[in-house]
Amino acid sequence: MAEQIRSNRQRELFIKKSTRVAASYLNRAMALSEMPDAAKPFFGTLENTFVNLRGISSCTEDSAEKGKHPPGIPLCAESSAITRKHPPGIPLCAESSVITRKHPPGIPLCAESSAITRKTIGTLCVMVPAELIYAAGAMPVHLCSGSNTAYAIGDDYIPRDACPLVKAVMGGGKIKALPVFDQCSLLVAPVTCDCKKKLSGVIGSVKNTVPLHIPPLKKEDADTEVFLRELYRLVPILEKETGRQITPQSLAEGIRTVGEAQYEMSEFLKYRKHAPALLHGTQVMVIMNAYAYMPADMWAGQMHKLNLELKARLSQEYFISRPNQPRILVTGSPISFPNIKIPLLIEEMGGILAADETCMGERGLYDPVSVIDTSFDGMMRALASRYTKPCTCPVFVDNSQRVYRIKQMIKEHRIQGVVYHVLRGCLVYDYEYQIMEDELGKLDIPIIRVESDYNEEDVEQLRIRMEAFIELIKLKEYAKNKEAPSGHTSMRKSKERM
Amino acid sequence: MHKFVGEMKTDTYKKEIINTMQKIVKTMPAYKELVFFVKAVKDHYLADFEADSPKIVVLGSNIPEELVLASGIMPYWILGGSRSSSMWADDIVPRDTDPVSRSGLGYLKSGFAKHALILIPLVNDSSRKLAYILKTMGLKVHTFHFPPVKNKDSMEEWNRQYEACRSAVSRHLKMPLTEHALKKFREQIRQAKWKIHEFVQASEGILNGSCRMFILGSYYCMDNFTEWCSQLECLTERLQKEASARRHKRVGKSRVLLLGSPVYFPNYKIPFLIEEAGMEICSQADYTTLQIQAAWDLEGDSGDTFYSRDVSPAYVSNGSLYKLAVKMVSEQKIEGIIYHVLKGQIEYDFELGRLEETFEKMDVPVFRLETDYNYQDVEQLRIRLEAFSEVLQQKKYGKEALAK
Repeated sequence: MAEQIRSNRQRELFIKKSTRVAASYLNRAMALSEMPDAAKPFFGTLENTFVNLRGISSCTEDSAEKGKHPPGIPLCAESSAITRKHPPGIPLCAESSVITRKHPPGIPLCAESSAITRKTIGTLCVMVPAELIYAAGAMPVHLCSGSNTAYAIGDDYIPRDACPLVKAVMGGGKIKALPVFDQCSLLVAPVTCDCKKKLSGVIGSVKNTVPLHIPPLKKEDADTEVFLRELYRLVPILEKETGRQITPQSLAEGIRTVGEAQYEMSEFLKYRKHAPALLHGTQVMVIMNAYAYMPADMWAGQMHKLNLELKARLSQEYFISRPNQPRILVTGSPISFPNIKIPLLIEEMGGILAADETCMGERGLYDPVSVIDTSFDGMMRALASRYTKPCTCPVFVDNSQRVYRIKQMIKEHRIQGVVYHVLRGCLVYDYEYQIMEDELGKLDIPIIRVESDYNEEDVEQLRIRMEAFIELIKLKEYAKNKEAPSGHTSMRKSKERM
Repeated sequence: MHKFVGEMKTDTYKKEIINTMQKIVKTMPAYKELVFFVKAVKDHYLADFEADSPKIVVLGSNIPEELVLASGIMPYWILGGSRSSSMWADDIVPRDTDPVSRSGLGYLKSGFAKHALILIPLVNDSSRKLAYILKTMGLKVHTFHFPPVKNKDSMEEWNRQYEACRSAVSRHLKMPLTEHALKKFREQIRQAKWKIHEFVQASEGILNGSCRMFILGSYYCMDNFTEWCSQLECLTERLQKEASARRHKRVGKSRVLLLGSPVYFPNYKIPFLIEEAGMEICSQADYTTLQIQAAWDLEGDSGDTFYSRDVSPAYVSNGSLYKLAVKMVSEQKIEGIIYHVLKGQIEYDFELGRLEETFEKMDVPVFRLETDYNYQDVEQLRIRLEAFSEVLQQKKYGKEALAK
């Protein structure tokens, strides 16, 4: 009885605090100037999930009942009307090269949403192929949480020095107040780092969990085979859970569904690279986080609208930043909503978050599945390859790809400074900091290591550091601009001498 | 190379080794059979690498021994217990790295293994990143991955890793490692582990916990496998004779089981403190010690039994360790558990919860102790251990009073 009272009280406190924190972060992100209208539904999704504490399908049910379109979820009628060209690299399901977006199998139509319930499968890392889950007629929900309140609850069940993400996941599972978590009938937990490895062992007490082994090496074909075997092991588990068989057709459809989201993402990146910026990076982080709680096709549909809006902004030269505003890249440990304090601090202090190399950001949707062989095995191989080979997660032994990718991003996004985010206890990212520091030093790009957790106590300290970092970039640019003419003169002089 | 030898001979490192050895030797009975082991450990840790650099270096205790022993070449095992060597790696690893990984990297970073093949078992985050750091230093590294979920597929994968390691060793030494040779050595190792088991049983009540740990640890310091086995046999015989001569050895000390992070030489801070606090270390249930002594009951001669019985925290759920620990507590009349966690070895902390629950039901108190290789916390740990020892004593008296 006493235990029951205690847990109810804890639940009440959780709801009160977590919703307040989530709402405050959403408001702060929205308050950043000139948010595109098409970005609002993404905010709506996170609002529904973290502030209104609604589950995935309950949002749709609710809307059907009220006859109103819920915030954050695009209208199915609208999305089904979107017609566009087939994105490159995605297998064709229809013969024509122009696809009319059809409602994907297993995803309830708005009109019939109250009648159809679709299972949701929780995933604890972006290395779980969402395509397989869509193919099984379920919807993947990415449960890597950034909730400070859930983290505090998880602290009772997870060792002190474990990373906050793992604690928040455990806390979210234990509190039974997050419908998105409670709705999931199964958790797929990739065994990536030590904390996630052990988490997949202990979270089994909360939810039915399938650990997914990720090989630590990825160069050899044999390593990909290991992951392929794991995917084949996952297939019957998903089929049993959803009661629906994964067929070559449904898998192709799953790949197409996620492929569309990736295609829209690639289009979006073209606009994100623009300097001066067309939208704030913090808002981009919110958009990327919303992908975790939205069906891929709905997210893609909304992204399509956002891309159109950004295109219009570009043609009207409607920028949200000044040309000389420091452009910053954030990399390192995941930035999961509501813990978006780092992007917010960067932008509140006068920087522009021009790019991110994080798993909850660009990395999750960057590389498309490249299907060469359209047989079932061929598609499975393509999935195994896509989720390991291009992945720049530091859990792999040789992760030199990440350095290459960041260098590439620095060039493409015209980055002037890098914020290296390390969540306390996230050792794998910390190990790679030194390499990154050396490599960026060669490029004369300043880098700052920011260690934090989900608490808000360190915000003011971080603010001061961020402010100083942005000042440093500004001064550096100023000195560079000042030096440039004299540099030219000396070059001219030396040429004349020659 | 010169730099490393210089570092090896620095006063701090030498002092660390010699001090620990002196402390152990003081508590050892004066048996001539023990001299061999003391010498083996001393030679290993104060080796002159300039004169004789190793051909194969093994980091940690997770690589099946036959893979290196079958070649006839003795590898240099680096378990990572030195505080001095852990400081050598301070500038290349993150602050929160565990001292074992730091110490291992410290040994290797100066290039004494420039021409060696370094075998690294991939069992945790640090080992993965260490492998990469060493590769970028230009060292020859071969990694051995341990699939974290034990099932039929992972067994297959482990066998693939085993074969890959076998060919890497074979390629490096330019000599074939035949199936016959591996089988022969697996059998020899099995017999050696029987001898280790006999030694552990014979040593009870005669050798103290740290001394027994030292002898067991010398397994990774040996120069000659056959000689080490025969010397151990001689020591066991001597201990058996002593045991029959004096029957009553116990002095009413509380019997504790040391669980959690392995204790590696020369960092014997914890066993020394436990004994100074008046407790007796009956057994250790860390994966290295269990690897040395528990494999004696291996049946069959396939390599994968090593994997299936491994109790390291490299797995999603470490059921094997749980079962073994429960068995040890009930069979050895353990009165208390000391759960040793080295800072940064988070997996052990994850495993504590389940063990704590079980031991609570068995009415065996569990004491979690977190430390690193520094000596600054010794006095705090001493007070805590003394308090735990008193709790165990009080509990014992209470039980005796109830029985009366």
